[in-house]
Amino acid sequence: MRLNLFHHLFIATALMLTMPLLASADSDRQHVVKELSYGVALYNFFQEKYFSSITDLMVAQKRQTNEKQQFDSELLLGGLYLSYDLHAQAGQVLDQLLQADIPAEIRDRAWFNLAKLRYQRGFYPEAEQALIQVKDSLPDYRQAERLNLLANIYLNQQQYDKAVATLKEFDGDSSWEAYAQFNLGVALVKLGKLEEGIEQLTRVGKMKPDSSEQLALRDKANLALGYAYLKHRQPEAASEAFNRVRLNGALSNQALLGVGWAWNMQSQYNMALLPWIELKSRSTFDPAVQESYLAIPYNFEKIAKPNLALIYYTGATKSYEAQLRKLENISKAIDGGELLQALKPANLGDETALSLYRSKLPKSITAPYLYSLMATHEFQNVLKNYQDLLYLDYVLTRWQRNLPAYSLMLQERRRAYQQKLPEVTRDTRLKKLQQLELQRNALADKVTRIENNQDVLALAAEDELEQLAQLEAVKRNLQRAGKKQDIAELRQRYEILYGLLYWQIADDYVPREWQLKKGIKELDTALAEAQAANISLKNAWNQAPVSFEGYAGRINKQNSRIKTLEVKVQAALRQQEKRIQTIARQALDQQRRRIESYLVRARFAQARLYDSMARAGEQ
Amino acid sequence: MKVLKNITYFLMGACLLLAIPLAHAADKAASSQRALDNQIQDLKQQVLELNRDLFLLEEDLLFPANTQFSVFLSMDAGQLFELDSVQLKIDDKIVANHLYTEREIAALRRGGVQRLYIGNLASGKHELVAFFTGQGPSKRDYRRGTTVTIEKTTDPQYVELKIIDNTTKEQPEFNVKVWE
Repeated sequence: MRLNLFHHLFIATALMLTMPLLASADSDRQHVVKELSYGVALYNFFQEKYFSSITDLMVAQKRQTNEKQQFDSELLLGGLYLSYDLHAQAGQVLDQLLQADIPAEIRDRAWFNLAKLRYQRGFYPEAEQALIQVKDSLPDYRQAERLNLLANIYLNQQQYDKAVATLKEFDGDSSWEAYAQFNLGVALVKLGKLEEGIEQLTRVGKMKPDSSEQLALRDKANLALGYAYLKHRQPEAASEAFNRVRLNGALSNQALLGVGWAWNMQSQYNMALLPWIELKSRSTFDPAVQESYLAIPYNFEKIAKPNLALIYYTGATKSYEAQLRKLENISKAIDGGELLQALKPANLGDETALSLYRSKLPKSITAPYLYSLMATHEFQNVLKNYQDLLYLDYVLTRWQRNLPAYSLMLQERRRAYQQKLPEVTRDTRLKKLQQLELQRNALADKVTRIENNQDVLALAAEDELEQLAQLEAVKRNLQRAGKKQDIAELRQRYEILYGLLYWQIADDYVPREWQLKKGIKELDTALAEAQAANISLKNAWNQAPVSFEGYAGRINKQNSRIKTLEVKVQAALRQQEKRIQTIARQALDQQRRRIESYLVRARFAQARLYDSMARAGEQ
Repeated sequence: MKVLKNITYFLMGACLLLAIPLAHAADKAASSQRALDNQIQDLKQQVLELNRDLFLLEEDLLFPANTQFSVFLSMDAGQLFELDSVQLKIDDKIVANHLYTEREIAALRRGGVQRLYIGNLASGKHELVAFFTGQGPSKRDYRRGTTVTIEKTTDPQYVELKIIDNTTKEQPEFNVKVWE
């Protein structure tokens, strides 16, 4: 019985390495929004609705509605492309942004994002170069992330001294620092630099966690530490590290197995049985539990209890046989599409739910068997691509459903237009506008004439006109009577009355003239509005057929684009489904081979024990 | 002993021979996976571009510029008011109701702006009323309305409803900004 240390060390470290590299719109502070469309894109981005957020920015770019925040928008777009795994597009946007004359803060963030992009693509020296370009305007809360990235760049280039030096730059407690320390520790242990690696891992293994994420990281560090100690035959230190792993955490099974091996290594076989018997009561699809089925009887043999060992070997054989049958059924379920069905989010319309859905184990009977596989970076990438394709398919289907309604609406508008066109062209009110304009011009001429001639009486009010008419009649009577009698006194009274009336009108001439001009101005405004409305109406009616054709053309064009893309997305979906099933089957095969190997060992041990017992009986 | 050695060499040779096509098959599989990954990235970009064009078409068709009217919602720190829901009325007709999730509230607090409503309005005066429901200071139930009269022109019009903490009064404020 040999402990497969490398396997356990791999499991312990497989889940670590990267914290998510998010887009660079700093998620934990309030953003200044000067353009609504930028704010809307942020709203979707903060909910991890990357597809919608990218669309918002693309629409804003087309409509030119982000001009006041053009650089912010481009920086966000670059980051979004990065989060949405569109690396080429992210690089293009960021490179273009860096060529512009941009503020230092945006420049630093753009270089930072470019460094992340290059790191993700495995261009480590280039990523380091980009990070060097980041000056001092990066906010404090980004510094730890920058150092973590730098440490990872050095790790991937096996420049461990530089990675250690980078860790010293961390200031205060930070999750990023813990991640960097953990990664460095694992790398050093793998390289055989045990002492240095252990130093790093111990810091993480003993940290006081303040989040579930840090708790999980601490467990991982202690598990890796424990197996590293075991590998270098330091069982007491290994036990200490394993005991720091939470008993109810995801890594507790491996820790219990490790504790048992640590006791075993010290020849404390009874002590080793305690964690393993606890382990045996747990789920049989866990590799650590499966191993405990063999480890227990192995220990009983060590303490010279062959009968008990035989009982446990027999139990192990039965359990392994049952597990192999289960694996067969699981394999059939994968072939039948059960896993694929479980990987499809129930509600694709809720873009926010997609990332949440990925962070949970799928509700599939295969999940307990594929747990380790599902936690790997490779599977997560494949799953993300699969769900992204499902979402693309959903988007295309939704548009395909909507477009006929738009065509129908367009047809309806065209029909209404054709029905109303004769009514509108016959409408006499439209022709009246010309008459009204002529009347207005006549009025304006009259006002000009009055003004030029200072024709005070032309501005007389109605009652004044009446009085003027009466005075005119009096004047005529006076002229007629003047030939027959002396009417000097009456003539004088007439002159006084006429003078009074004239003075009254003349005195009010300026306000009256102003009022008249104001009236004409108002008339001009009303006429101009009516004219504009008339022109707009005419244009609308004239342009309507062209506009209908334009929309119809756009709808048809997009419809054919949808159909072409739908075929491509469906083909990619089928290929991706095949890929998931292949990976899952490979993982099951691996498990099957492991259990078969355990089964062979259990049967062999059974035979060996029967044999030796028989021999002992004969003697 | 010599025979055993020969058998070992033979087995090693056989293993190597077997390993070559196996390695070749693995390379082929990896390269076809890379090709599929690239194809998926390409499809994502194409669907994004199509989605943008369809979005523009839909907006042009359903909400022409001369009648387009949009209402947005934003908030600052939001310490004095925990938003639950918003109801929007235009000319006494309910046009939007929205119940907020925790994620949406967090997105608003970080500076995100929600497009609450888009529709069509004829030129002229209109009354817009928004009711905000949630929890105010001291976690008490809070319902507040804000009314504004807007003059719709033939240009697209954007109105922003802003929830602001008035720290002096220790009360939330609900402002309306009409974007020019």
